Parts: sequence; structure tokens; C-alpha cells
Amino acid sequence: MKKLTGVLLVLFTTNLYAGWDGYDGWSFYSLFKQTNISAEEYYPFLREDYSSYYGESYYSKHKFPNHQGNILAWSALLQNWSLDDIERAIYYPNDFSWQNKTQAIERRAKKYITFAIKCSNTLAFRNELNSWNYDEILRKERPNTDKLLIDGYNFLNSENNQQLQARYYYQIIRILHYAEMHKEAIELFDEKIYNKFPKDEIYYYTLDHIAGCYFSLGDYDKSACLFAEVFSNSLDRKKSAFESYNLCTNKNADGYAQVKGIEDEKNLLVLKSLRNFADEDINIRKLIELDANDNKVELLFMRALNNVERKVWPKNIGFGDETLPFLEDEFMRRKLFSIAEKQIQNERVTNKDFWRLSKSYLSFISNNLKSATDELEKVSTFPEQKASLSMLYEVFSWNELSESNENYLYSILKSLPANENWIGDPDNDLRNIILDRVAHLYYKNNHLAKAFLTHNPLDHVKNIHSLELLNDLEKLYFKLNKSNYENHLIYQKKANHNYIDYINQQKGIYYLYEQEPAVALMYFDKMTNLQERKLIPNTIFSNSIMECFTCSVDDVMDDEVYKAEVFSFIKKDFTRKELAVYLIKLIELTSNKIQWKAKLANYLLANYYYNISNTGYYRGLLTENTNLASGIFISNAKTSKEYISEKSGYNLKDISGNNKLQKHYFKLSNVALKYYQHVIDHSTDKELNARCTYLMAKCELNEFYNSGSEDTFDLVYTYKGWNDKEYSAEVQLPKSRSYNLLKEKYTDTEFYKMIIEECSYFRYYSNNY
Amino acid sequence: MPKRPMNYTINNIILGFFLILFLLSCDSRSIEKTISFYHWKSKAVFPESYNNAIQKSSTNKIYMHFFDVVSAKESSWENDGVFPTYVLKSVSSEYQKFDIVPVVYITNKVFKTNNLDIENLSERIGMLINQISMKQFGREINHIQIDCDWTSSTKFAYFEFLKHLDKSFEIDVTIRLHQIKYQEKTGVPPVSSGTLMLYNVGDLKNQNQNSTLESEIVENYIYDYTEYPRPLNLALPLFSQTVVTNNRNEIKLINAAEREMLENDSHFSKIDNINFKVVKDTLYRGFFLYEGYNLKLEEISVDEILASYRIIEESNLNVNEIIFYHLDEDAILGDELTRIIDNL
Repeated sequence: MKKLTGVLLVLFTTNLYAGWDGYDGWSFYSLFKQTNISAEEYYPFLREDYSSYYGESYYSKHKFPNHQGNILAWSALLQNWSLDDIERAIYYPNDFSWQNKTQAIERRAKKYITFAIKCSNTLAFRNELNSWNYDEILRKERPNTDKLLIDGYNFLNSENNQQLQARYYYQIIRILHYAEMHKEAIELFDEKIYNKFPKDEIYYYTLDHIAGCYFSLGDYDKSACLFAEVFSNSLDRKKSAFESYNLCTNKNADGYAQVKGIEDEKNLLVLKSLRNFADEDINIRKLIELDANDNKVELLFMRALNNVERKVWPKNIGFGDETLPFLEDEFMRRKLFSIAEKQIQNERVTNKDFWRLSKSYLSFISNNLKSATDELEKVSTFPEQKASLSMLYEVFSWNELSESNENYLYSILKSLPANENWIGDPDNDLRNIILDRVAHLYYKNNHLAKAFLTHNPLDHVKNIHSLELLNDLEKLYFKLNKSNYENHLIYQKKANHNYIDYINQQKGIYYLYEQEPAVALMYFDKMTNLQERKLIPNTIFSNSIMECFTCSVDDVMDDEVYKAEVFSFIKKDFTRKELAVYLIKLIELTSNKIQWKAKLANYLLANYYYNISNTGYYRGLLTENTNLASGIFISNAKTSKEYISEKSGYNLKDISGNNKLQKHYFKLSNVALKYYQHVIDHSTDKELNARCTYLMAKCELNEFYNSGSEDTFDLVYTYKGWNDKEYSAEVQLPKSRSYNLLKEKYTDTEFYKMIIEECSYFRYYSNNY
Repeated sequence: MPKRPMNYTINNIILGFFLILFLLSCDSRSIEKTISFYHWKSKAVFPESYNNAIQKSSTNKIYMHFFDVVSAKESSWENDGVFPTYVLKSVSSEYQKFDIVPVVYITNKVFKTNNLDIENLSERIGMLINQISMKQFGREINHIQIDCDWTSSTKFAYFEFLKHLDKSFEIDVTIRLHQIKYQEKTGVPPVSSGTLMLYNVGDLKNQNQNSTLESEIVENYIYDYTEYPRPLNLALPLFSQTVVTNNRNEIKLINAAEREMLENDSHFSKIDNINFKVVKDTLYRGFFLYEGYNLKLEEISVDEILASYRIIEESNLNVNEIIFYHLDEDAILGDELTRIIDNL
């Protein structure tokens, strides 16, 4: 009987957790393409989820080069070359052959590129920031650059092409910078480059290094101003110049002391505005005051608009309180709308379509669909964005879904196939927000089945236990003249079962939990061809003194009354339908005139109801869950069934994938307790009655865990931790009527002697209460 | 109203289920006042203020930040984009005499990396720890601390990582308050000990609350019956900070609280004892501050440190060592530190 020392281990609901868990991936729908801005060179400053910028994945996906300026400069020199050839010659030299490049300028270009590659390799220690080697991190091995400098000067002196000269100067200044010869670099720049070469991409590459030299010399304000100039004028160095500028501001230098004109002022304003923490509204207005037609206004506006989207289009609302759109904070929305409106009216602004599109979208966000649609009609460019917004406006104009709406919905969903590889892919946003919206309309208009099936496969219905939902699912199945979308919902590939068989099975299970086996049988009888995944073992009618969910059945279920001849109709394993039949027979037997038969039928029913209760060994088995310890079965959270009956929340997204919403408490231990009491009422067998009394205490404990008690006591206990140390803890437990009875009436039984010996808790209780 | 079983928290229900095993006994424990310090800078200098703080607390152990591990780039065929940063660059000779515990901070995002090779990551981290230990201290160091604010979505990867690293080091991991309270969900790391971080516990956005440490917040997480299946060290704050809130209600932190400066600078207007409004745009400590932004001073309070400490002391947590965060010129290392130490 060592089994008595087993431990009842149950894992519990997570329903009390809130607000601290990190969220993976995008948390909002992004419906307005940030790349609608006209200046492609500013794409790196658009927002993504984790940072202020589009990440590297964006570049690889959209093939936006980050050395476009350099390639364009080369194309002015190598006029017969394709851009692709230039790119390969410079950035992928191993993939490029110079065999047919025999012109003089090509030979000199090759000479320069070979030198530039040598410089890059020698100066690579600067870029070894991402390294797991401590020596590299400490940059102990600073290379000798003397020879490189001499080569650079020699090549420069033998070159007469202005661009190649500028490029050699760039390399020499880069070497001087990284060799920490900052003053020499600045002197060279002032003497030989400033005002002597055109201000092209190469010039700004060089100026980037000069700004770095000023920084190293501690002239942060000058450095900030030069980085701002590079940021504004270079195609390729914008992002690095921005990051370098921020280093200057960390030294409390913002470059404003060096401002010489409106261009400088604009550059610094944009740099300030790109900081995550900037006041977007004020900065956009200031930039518009300086130059309303500057394409960087679109950039700043787009970043602010993306921030608005983060709040108004939350994903995964489900039973939450948010809505689509979620309009709690309208401050920035109104500001941006006003900016878009003024830009449309401003005669100096040329890219009117961008601003009309923005105004339309902001009207839509504000639920002003008429204005949104009218403004969208005026837009003649942006065909893709127009099409997606048109779809959205159409779907969001519906208050309920007619058959023609559903057919339209079906057609647009076919045109927007889901990226199944990554559900959080922003490419799915349009499709997913449409589904969220229509599911919401179905839910609010009481079309539960369609609301449910829009987001959930049919077999997720199994732990909801909502008859209302099951009935609506049945009604949808038998509906005549279904729309395309309704057919799609019923026959979607995720449904693994014959639809109506599955509904009938779930209704049968529903009535088993409602203790109405006759009604359950009626539904099971309607099933035609449904294989049950897990049969029910006859030990569901047994009971256990020990509580151990991870132990095998043989170790736990030691009572064998169910094997008695009178119960020979119970097979070893059986279906839920057969279970309903057995329950009906057992209930009949409880009225049998032969008292022992009635008594034992009550006993089996009691065992069954305790075992399927939410602290029983077979909890969850009827719904085809396992009975392993990993099940989560106690919760005081509101269940999805309750949400549905109240129609609260936004829609039914993922209601069943969330354990905390499942219904597992059916007050079945109370039913078990009554049947055990009937056993005692029919029985003169003191041993059996003592056991039943002990089992009733388990039922009382179940009720305490689920509903609490007014009559409790505090128990301090000790236990051994992982390190063999003893710990103490306090737990609140209910006073037990059944333990008192066991102590008062059954001390002379063998069962009592065994249980007082083996069960330390009962021993404690017996000694103290 | 019927009583719920211990407010229905997960812990308590589980305790209830342990009842059959219980054995009555009493267990009174007190915290040993072994005191250590964190060092969290890339250049480990040793000014007089550090020396004084270390002397008065009889410290012989320093938890020295070696490096952070971050997702520096997106993963590609070439590498997973995970690299060390803020690496310890130089160490004054005075630190040689101390027992050094290397600390590595890993961002939670690292464990969300696509196809992360966890074993390889643990090898890389172990190797870099050894390289730094040998170069800066001339010895191998076996005991390390890993700092990561893992979540339920990263716990499997993080715990797997710890299991690999555990083959080479004795590991202590940092534990946040929510990871104590919700340990069933966040899991318990598979290592021998932890360090409960008793700072940064509150809501940065709450303008009436000091998020660094308030005993009222600790009370919401640690009860007298709270326990944890690992022995813990306790990390207590010695730093102050300023929380900047912009006009979109977003926040940034400044690692200092300059009350006197704010009270005397015309760019700022005092709202109450801890809050200041920006009344004129300015650049302050690397931040562009605009009119309307709010600055909340979060100055550390000795009383709050001690009150929070008492809550931990009265719980069932098995706490051994106190680690102060951190050795810094701006931290409180003078008389107030003495008061804290005397009252622990």
C-alpha cells in the first residue's frame, strides 16, 4: 500500500498571467506600404518591428542596393559597361573577368579597383566588429599602412582622370583616417579636394571620413555638421552618416552652430527627426515650413503613419477589448490627416497622389469610409496600393454579410493566398485583417458557426462545450443554397473529419458531461462513419486511493468491482457511444430491487464521475484528450463558452487554441459525491463505506479547488527541494466533513488502519481537527 | 464570500496538491550577508570610491560584465548574425585579487533567431569567456553568470543553451520577479543557482512610481510563502536613473538623475518632487528633448532597498549572497551604502 504516498500532480491554468510575456513578431497590421514614398534612397529609414529601419532581409528581398551611388559614378566613367558588370567588377571581383576590357580607361579602372580591394583587405580590421575572437575585438593587430599610402600617392600622381584621382584621394584619406592620422587627412582634404573636385558620390564618401577625423579630434560640432551633409547628399552613406551623427549628439553636439543655410537646417532637422524618440508632428511641420516639396517630408510622414498603424490595427484580438480599427488615441491620427490635407492644397507640392492616398487611408482609419473612397478615386498612380485599399474599404463598409458579399469575399481571398510558411508575414496582413473583420461581423450578428470556422478548424470545437455553437455549426451544414464562402468554410482542408458526424459526436460528448447519457446516445446514433481516436478503458469505473497522473493505470486503479459478473456488459475498451449505453444500464441498476446490485451500480457511477472530473485520472478523456499530467484542468478564468454566450470580445480567433479558455469544470465531483453517498445509504459493508467516505473527501477537495470554501484551515508543511534541503510552505485547505466521518465512524475498519498509516495528510488532519 | 484556495494562484494550488506528502516541521533561515558587486563597464578602472565601497562591505567577489550577446545582423547562410558586443576591453590590476564571476548578458531576441545552433552558440560564448579570462586575469574561470530575460516563447531554446553551457561552467542565471511568481509558465532554468534581480521591477511609464525599486511592487510578486527550487543570490540596486517620456508616451532611460541640474536649468520646469517638464527644446545627454517631454527622476532610496530586502527575507526563498548593482561613480557608494550594509 505504498501507493498511498503517491502525489497528486496537476498542472494548472495560466489564466492569471497578463501583460509581461514578450510578443514574437509583428503585432499590428501594416496596410499602407511604406515604400509608397518617392525617395528610394531613404528606404533604409523606414520602420520595421524591431528597429527604426528596414532590416537586411528587406534588402535581400527587394534587391535595393546600398552602393547604388558608387555604381552610378562608375557608369559615368565606364560608359559602355552595364551596371551589372560594374557591380560585379567592384563588389564580386571573383565573378568578373577583365579579359575583354582592354581600353586604356578600363586598364586604369582595373588598376584602381585592385588597389581599392587591397586597401579594403588591409583596413578590414575596422570592420571586424562582429567577431567572436577576443584579439580581433581588441584590434591588437593594427596593420602597417605605410606601403599602402606610398602606393596610393604613386598611383594618384600617375592618374589624370578626375574621377579616378578623386577615388585615389578617397582611398588615401581612408587610410589616413584608419591609421589615426586625422590632422593629415583633414589637411589633405582642405588642400587638395575641397572646392577642387565636384561634389559627387565619391566626394561624400571622402567627406564621411573627414567627419570621422573631426570626431576623433574632438570637434564634435563640425563632425555633426559634416555627417549631416553626407547624410543628405550621398546615396550610399545615409545610414552610416546618420549613425555617426548620433554619436556626435551623444557628445552633446548637434551641428547647429555650423548651420550656413536652409539646406543645412533641413539636413539637421531630418537627422533629428529620424531618432525614434523625436516629436514627429512638430518636425514634419518644421520641415514643411522649410520646404514643403522636399521628398523627405514623405519619409517623416510615413514613419509617423507607421506608428499610428501600430496602435490602430492590433493583431490577434479574439476575446480582447480592442477593435479594428482601435481608435483610443487620435492625437497623431488627426495631426497626420491635417498635414496630408494641407500638402494636397499646397501648390508647391508636386507628388499630390502620395498625399491623396495618405489622406484617404487616414479617413478610412477614422471610420470615414465615404471620404476615404472619394479621395482614393482621385489617385491615379499607386495601382497596387489602390487595389488593396479598395478591397479593405469594401469589406469594412459591410455591416453584415449578404450572399453576394460572401461570394466577393471568397473571390478576394482566392486572390490573396496565405503565406503558410510564416503566419506573421506582413504579406498576409491584408488577408488576415479581412478575415478578422468578417469574423467580427459574423460574431456580432450571431452567425457563430461562420465566425468560428473563419479562424478555427472544426475539431477545435471539442473543448468549448457550447451547445449554441454546435447547433449553429449543424444549422450551417444543412443550410440550402450556400454561398461559395460557406462551402469553403465547411469543406476547408483543415477539417479532418466528416463534418456532421463530428458535430453529432461532440453533441453526444456534451450531453455525457451534462449527465444525460440517453440524449448523448441519440446523437451518437446519428453518426455514420467516425473513427474514435482513443477508446475508453473499463478502468474508468474503478477508483484509486493514490493520486498520480503520471503513473500507469495498473499502478493507480486498484479497485476491481467493475469486473463483477453483474457488470459483464462492460467491455475492456469501448466507444463513447457504448459508454452512453453502459451509463444508461448502470442508472437502471441503481433502482434494482436487489440492494447489492443497486449499491454497486451507484459505486461505479460515482467512480466514473470522479474520474472524468477535472481532478480525476481520466479528466479530458471524453474529448479525446490524454490523461497525462501535462493537462491543464483547473481554472477560474472565463471560458470561451461564456464569452460566446455573452457575445463579448471582437471575434472567435484561436479561442480553442488557448488552454485557459477551455471548459473543464462541470461540477462532476459533486455528482460523484452523491453517488458515493447512495452507496453508503444502501450498504452495511463498513469496509466499503469507509473507502467511499475517503473517496468523498477527494470529491470535497475537488470542489474546494474549483469553488473555494468558507471553512478552511492553514497548513504548514515541509518538503525537500532539489538540493535535498528542507523547505516549508503554507497552504490553505478545506475542513473535510468526510474525514471527520471517517474518523468518527470507521476507526475499527481495516481501511481506516491502512489510511491513517499511509496518508500523512489524513493523519495530520485526524490529529488536529 | 467563500475563500478561494490561497487566492487561486498557481503556486498555491500546486502546494495544495502536495498535501499528501507533507511533513510538519519549521524552517527558519536567515540570509548570510556575503556581499559582492557587479562591474558593468567595458573599461574596468579602480577609483578610490570603488575601493572604499569594497572595503566597507568586505567584498572579495566581483561579478564582472564580460560582454553582451545580441542579434547584430539577420541570420544568413554565412552565420546566425549573433555576435558579442560591449566587450570588456581593459582591466585594472587591482581586480586581480578578487574572485571574478564573468557575467554575460544575452538578449531574449537571440533565442528567437531562425535555425539557431544552440550548441555552437554555447561553445562560442564559452570560448570568448575563456579568452577574456586568460587575457585579463591569467586564469580560467569556472563560475559564470548568464543574464537573460527569457520568456515563455524562448525558454526551451534558452534552457537548452544553458544545458550545453553547463557542461563547461558552473552557471548562475539571473531571475526576474515575474519568473519567480510565474515559474510554472516561465520554467525554472536547468542550472544550480540563480540571482534574483531586485531592480527595474516597476512600470517606467507610471509617473508616480519609482520603477527601479519599490517595496510595494516587490510585495506583489513575493509572498511569505513564495519559494523557488534553486538557491538564490539577491541583486540590489545602487543606481539612479531618469525616465524620459515623449509626447507619444514612449520612454527612454538616462543613466543618471541630475536633480540639481534640472532644478536650475531653464529648459526644464518642475512639476512635482520627481517629475520635470521640458519647456524648451534642448539636447540633453545625447537626447533631443522637445517641449512637453517629461523627465521622471528615479532616485534610489535606502529605505526602499531595505524594505524590499525584508520582503525577500521573510519569504521562503533560499537567499545566500547580496550583489550590488553596480560599481559606478554615479552609484551610491558612500554613507548610504554603509547604512544599507549595516541593516541587511
